[in-house]
Amino acid sequence: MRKLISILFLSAILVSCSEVIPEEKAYELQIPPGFDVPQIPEDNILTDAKIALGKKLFYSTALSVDSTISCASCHRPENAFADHLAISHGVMGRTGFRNAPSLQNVAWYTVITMDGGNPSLETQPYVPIETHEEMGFNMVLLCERLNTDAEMVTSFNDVFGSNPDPYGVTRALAAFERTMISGNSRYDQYAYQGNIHALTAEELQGKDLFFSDALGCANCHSGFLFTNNTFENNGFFSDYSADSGRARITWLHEDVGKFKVPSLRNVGVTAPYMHNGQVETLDEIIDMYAAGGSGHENQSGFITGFSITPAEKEALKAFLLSLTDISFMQNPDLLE
Amino acid sequence: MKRNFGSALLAICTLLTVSSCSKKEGCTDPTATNYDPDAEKNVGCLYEETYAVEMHVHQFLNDIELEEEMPYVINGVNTNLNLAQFYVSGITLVDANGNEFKQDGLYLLVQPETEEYAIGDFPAGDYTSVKFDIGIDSATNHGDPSLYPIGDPLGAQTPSMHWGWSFGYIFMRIDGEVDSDGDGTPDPAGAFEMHLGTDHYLASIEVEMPISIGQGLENIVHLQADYTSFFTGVDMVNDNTTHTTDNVTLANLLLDNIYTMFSPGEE
Repeated sequence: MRKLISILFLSAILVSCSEVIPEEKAYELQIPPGFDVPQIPEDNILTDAKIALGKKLFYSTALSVDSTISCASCHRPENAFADHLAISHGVMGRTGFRNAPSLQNVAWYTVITMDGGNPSLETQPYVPIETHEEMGFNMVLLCERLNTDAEMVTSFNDVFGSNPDPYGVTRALAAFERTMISGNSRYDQYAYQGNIHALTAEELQGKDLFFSDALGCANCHSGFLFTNNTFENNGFFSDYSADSGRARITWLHEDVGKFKVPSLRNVGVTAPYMHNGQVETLDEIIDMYAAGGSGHENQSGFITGFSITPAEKEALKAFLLSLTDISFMQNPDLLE
Repeated sequence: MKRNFGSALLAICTLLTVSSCSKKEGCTDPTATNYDPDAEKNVGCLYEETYAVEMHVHQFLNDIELEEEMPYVINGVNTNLNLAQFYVSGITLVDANGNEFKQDGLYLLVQPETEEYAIGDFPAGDYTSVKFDIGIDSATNHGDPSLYPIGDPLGAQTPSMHWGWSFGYIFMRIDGEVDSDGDGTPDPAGAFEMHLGTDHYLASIEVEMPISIGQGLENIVHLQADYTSFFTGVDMVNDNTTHTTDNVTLANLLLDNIYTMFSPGEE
């Protein structure tokens, strides 16, 4: 009996110790009007200190093998944390085969990476850190390097109670990325913040076209994220042998050429477009959808073509540009 | 209503009395050999004798014990092997009656510099074969390596044994250089990588051999891994690299070869 009591006593102490640290400085995400509350993993509760450490890692070139590039080299704040290059440059001039996506609103994404091969924000950092054509480094060697940086060692111990390790690196990066929230475009001000004057007449016409059944853009680019978080073959290409997309993960023929539907938020600053960055303008995209796609056998049933006048096209583009959120790209909490 | 409640209470009391009187006696520990699932009162359990067993993986290439950074001639081509390692999991000993004794949760990263691997406790007895997988079961394969410490076979490794993009482990990783220009010396232009992974490439192997576990025995499973078989039919100069999905033809050949590379090892 005495043993039982001491065990109970001991576990009471353990519980109280483990709870004090994270609760103390819990960080509450600033959720824009119109947005849901995102799911935060239980093992990665947000705290100010963890987010600050994640930010330090995000902007640190120590993550690349030769200390030349950081996450921000390809996820540039001025491009809504996407890249302005079709294919980003990794270490030593190496190039991969996909366009770097925007990191805006990743807290809400249920699909991480274009082919959905990686399950979560906590697991995603392995991709850029260890991919030969990106940072070309190794998680073990990265942790060894971080352990030689006294400031990093102190920060990791403050946040995780341990020296830099893969768990801390991935959790801190994910925590910072969850704070990359874009929900204050002029469209948001119009739709969710009650400012009926935020959009011009032309942009409003474009909005109606965007949400019309005739164009059907919102079949895929739906909801407050402007993506339905699924994989589609948008009929932009007829040959996907260089990159089979979702099929690379599932090995299913029906998934060839399917990629995650990207959000259209900040689409005005995230050119070039498509998985390979081969499309430079919104005009080309509208023209391709109007023409009904390439007719690839896996092409989405939503891509059926439509007719659009030059004036309507200008209006549609104007609406798409109203999704640009300047305050996001200038948010000091996200900048180095 | 009140009366109903009273009779229900009486019924429960009766039940309690009856059940405590007629508690079935037996062994209540599911891990015991005489475990009785109906037993309510523990009157003693019997346990099997178990012994710590090791697996010794004897790795050879061209009948020479495998060493990294050593020159070999593979399929007529001068080759340096810089890395050769693979995961072994699902280790199971099978007895003559077909009973299987499996070590769940055990994952080995087999490397040339290490021959001896602890594979947990097995009951005393005579076994007729060992089963194992080269690779990692699907559920564990897509787990998060960050949840394991560095140094654990499932934790982050250097060089990496994991792909971030598909989020799974590299089941087998062979890196090296071949003599690509015919001057007799392996060169950087002849660098090759054979990285096998994804759930489709889990290879389930069974090697028949007598294994006796018990008091006073060595309790070692000797396994031979012959890389000569692994490289059979591979064009070491012109078609020597696969990361599985980017060269499925070579990956399939290597997978076929994995099924032939294991045999009973000698002490």
